[in-house]
Amino acid sequence: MTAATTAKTTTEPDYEYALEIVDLCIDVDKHGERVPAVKNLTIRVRPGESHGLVGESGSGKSLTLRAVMGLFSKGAYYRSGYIKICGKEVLGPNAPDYDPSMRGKGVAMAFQEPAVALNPIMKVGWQIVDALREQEHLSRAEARKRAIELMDSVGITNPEDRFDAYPFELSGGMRQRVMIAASIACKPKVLLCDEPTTALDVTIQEQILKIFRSIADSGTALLYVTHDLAVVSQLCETLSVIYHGEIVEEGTLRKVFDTPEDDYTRQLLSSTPYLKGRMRAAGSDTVRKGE
Amino acid sequence: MPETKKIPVAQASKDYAKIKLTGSKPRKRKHANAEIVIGCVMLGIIALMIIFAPLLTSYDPTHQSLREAMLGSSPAHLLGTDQYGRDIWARLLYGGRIDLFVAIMAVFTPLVIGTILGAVAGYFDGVVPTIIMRFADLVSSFPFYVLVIVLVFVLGNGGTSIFIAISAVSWVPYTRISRGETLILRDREFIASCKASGFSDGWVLFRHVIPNIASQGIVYAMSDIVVNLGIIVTLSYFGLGIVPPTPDWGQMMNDGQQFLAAGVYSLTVIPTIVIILISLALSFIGDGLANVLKVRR
Repeated sequence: MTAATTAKTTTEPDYEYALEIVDLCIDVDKHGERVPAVKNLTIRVRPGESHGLVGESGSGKSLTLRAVMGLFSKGAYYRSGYIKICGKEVLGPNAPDYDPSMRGKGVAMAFQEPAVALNPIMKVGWQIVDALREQEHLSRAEARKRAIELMDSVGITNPEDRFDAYPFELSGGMRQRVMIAASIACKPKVLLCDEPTTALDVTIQEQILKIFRSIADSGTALLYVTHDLAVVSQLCETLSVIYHGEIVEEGTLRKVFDTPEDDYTRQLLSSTPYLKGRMRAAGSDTVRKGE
Repeated sequence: MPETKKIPVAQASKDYAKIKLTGSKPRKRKHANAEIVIGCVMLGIIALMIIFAPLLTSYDPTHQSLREAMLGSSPAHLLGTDQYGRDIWARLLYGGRIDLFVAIMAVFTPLVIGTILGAVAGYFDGVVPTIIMRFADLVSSFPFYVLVIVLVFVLGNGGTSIFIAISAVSWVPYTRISRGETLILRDREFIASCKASGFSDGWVLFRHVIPNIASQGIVYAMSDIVVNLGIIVTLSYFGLGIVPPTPDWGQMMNDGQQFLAAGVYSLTVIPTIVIILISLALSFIGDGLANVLKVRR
């Protein structure tokens, strides 16, 4: 409410926030009754910023993310609030059924489990090419070239050979890279990440996080959903803590980690004890990986 | 003892080296499958013989010569002649043309139509899927043979009307199969991921859903060809199918039937054996395909 009234000082784009979720309410069916699952949730992410959304299982974080993408699962209903991507309302009073026009170029999503988020019977290269051809209208040869460049940029070795691989022929880390390559193929302004490193081991996780870091540095707004505070501390500048569908705490990484105001945040932080201590000791905005 | 211990280690490191060398390239999936090979060879030989029938016999399958009726096997007539003096070998080869062609076409069309209808019914929600599935229920509530016979009766004899009749009835199982598969598939993450990439529903349906569900229908189609062949032959046997001057296996069986009591079996048995061989070949292919396609899950 208050942010809407603040004067726009930036002149380059006509929007201040790449992603704006305001007072979002989502209901879900539970035993035949509609109960609120996401309550008055507000998150704003600037271009180039990476924002962490932290919460436990069932807290509504994935539901929120999927709402931004317009992927409502069965039994989930939009009630009120609005979602704007690059200033365009995709879900809200003016677009109650979700406006898919921002998908691909405006907003893209990296999924949790790349093993199931890729078509199992299609060569991985073509899955990237498809995205390029659909959104950028490139020729086959051009799209192939771009896809190989993309695969190279996310750290896939031998991209020319891997282009013709099926998902089951790749390791988990490679599959995740392919999926990231596909999701950033059309240079989205907003990239949503649904715990994309949860299924990976820690060393691969760090490599993937580096890729996300560079994606954010290139001007993409990142909304990173996770239950892992260590990941947030490595990647994000700001974070929100969600509990039972409500944001209980938000702020910069430093502020939330050092001076948590909410009881739940404190519990969450104390459940990973080394983090808080290290934050103070390091005195920096990021925590290096523990020795 | 120490020597025998060394061997597996050396072997293991060799294997490891091999893995590292080939690791960068995608592995080739094993396509070879004994059942498919046997089935394809059997079906291939029969199909080639039917296609190149004019090279394998100099007789006209419809040419009658009562002086040469009911001859036994001889160099002139490999399998003998029937009661009208027509060469059985020639009739067998030419008869396969229409029977097999109609059987295959009457599988291909329902396979394509049924799979698309089922995918649409499974992928979308709303009125259209309901209409499709209730219509499928309606068609399948009639006994299969009865409906085909009625349709052939209405449309008239001949290959085309058999094809239309079978196609009009046998799309139902394909629709059910592909709808079921689609219902499972549409909740998979990669379909959500496709939608998230901004692809239209039609694109997702044809590029991602149908290729993923087609295998089940194709396996079913193999056994369906056998069923269709049975229907075509049966209809012809009852005089409802292929119109007489055109040679056809069902009619050959019917023609030979009256001589069974007299101890002349070849007229009936020969086309039967061919049909059994084709069925066997298609069953092999179907089983083999089911095994190969199962690996992907």
